[in-house]
Amino acid sequence: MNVRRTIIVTMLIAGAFSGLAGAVQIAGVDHSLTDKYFSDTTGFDAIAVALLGLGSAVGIVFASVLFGALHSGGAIMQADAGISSNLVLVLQALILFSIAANFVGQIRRLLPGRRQPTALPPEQPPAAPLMSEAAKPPPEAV
Amino acid sequence: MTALGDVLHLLFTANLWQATLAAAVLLLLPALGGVISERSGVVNIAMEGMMLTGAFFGVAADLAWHNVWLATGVAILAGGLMAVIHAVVSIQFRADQIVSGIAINIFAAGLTVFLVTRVYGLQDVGHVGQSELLPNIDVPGLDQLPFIGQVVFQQNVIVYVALVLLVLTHVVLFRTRLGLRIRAVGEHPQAADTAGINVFLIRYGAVITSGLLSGLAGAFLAIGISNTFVPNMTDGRGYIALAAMIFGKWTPFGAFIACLIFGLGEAIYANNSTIHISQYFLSMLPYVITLVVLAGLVGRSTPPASDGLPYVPGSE
Repeated sequence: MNVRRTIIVTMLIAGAFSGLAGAVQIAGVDHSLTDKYFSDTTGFDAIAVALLGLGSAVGIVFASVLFGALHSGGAIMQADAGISSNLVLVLQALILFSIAANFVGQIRRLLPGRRQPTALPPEQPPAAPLMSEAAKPPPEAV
Repeated sequence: MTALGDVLHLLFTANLWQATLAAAVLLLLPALGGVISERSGVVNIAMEGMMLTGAFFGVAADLAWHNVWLATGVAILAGGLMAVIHAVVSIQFRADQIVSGIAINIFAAGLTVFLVTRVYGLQDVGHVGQSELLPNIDVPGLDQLPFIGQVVFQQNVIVYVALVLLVLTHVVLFRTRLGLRIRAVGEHPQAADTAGINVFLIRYGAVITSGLLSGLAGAFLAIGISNTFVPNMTDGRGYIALAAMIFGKWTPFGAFIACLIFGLGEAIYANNSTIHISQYFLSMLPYVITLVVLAGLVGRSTPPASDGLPYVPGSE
């Protein structure tokens, strides 16, 4: 397998998808190129969405729907309830933090008591297949 | 041909290079923070958010207490606090450092605008008085040197501070025991841990230092160059500082050269009145040059070996 060519092709595909997103926004939503495109952060938000989707195409659909709903819901929240729509950004950040840091798992691990003995054995099965996988040569290296 | 002549003429004015150095320093401070953080093995793309937080709290403190040094201190601390979040999430909880960094940036963008509307009502924060801005200082004796005097010795106080910090970062990273430890932790944390170095402590210190430096850059932007806070006023500079750090191969002086090239673009964009070609085209040039140079001349830019990997004690 040609690693360099694969990387270049994947970058091309990624760029094409981003270009498609821009085309949809221009041709389907705004119908003109305005100033707001120069300070728009959708591309950066998309990194967050991709990571939130945990690297799977289906996950990204859910993650982007979540972020899209928060984004458009924020404007309505401001109009109806008088709550600053910027709180949506804070909320998005908190979602990212908690997903990335796996807070629930961390807290569960720290909690003493009856969870402690049961917490150890379930952690080993995921570790074992990973170890056996690591022992094998990676398919790319062949 | 006249357009080219205009550009050449502009390149020989001291005003342009004075503005270039100021713009470069604004990028240099977060870039230095990034060098320190990534040398210790923690990817930091959150400089943007830390700068923005520093800028807001700097302006807010300056408006409240009318003391620019106190306000600068508050800005530095605010950047540091954002860095503490990044440090806890990415070091303690072993989160993906890119996700955490992006979360910080989104968080800072939302928090600052929310606070602006909450505290100041409208989108207008108010302006800091001229006497309460970070002062420009002319170095006595040296500021009358031809050309160099205006470019280097008639600058904002933060420019001098940043140049000192540049040398200091280089010396600490490459000439002291502490710097050796920081780099060891970033290259091979397991080996560093075995040698008795506290990996977590070094990484916490490095990430928080990067936040302090980014906060200082935010103060320089908001109460040095500008005199008010505007939502999203950092305008991607944290990301450009990140690019400068990579362009400079994770070294302080390399990053400084990259910052100067990027700063030149910004200065040309600001001093465009004498040029008759599109300033947008000119401001694009430094980045095109960077891409070409990065692809062709500088060669591979290799990050520290354990950059971005959380350290799990006892792992191999």
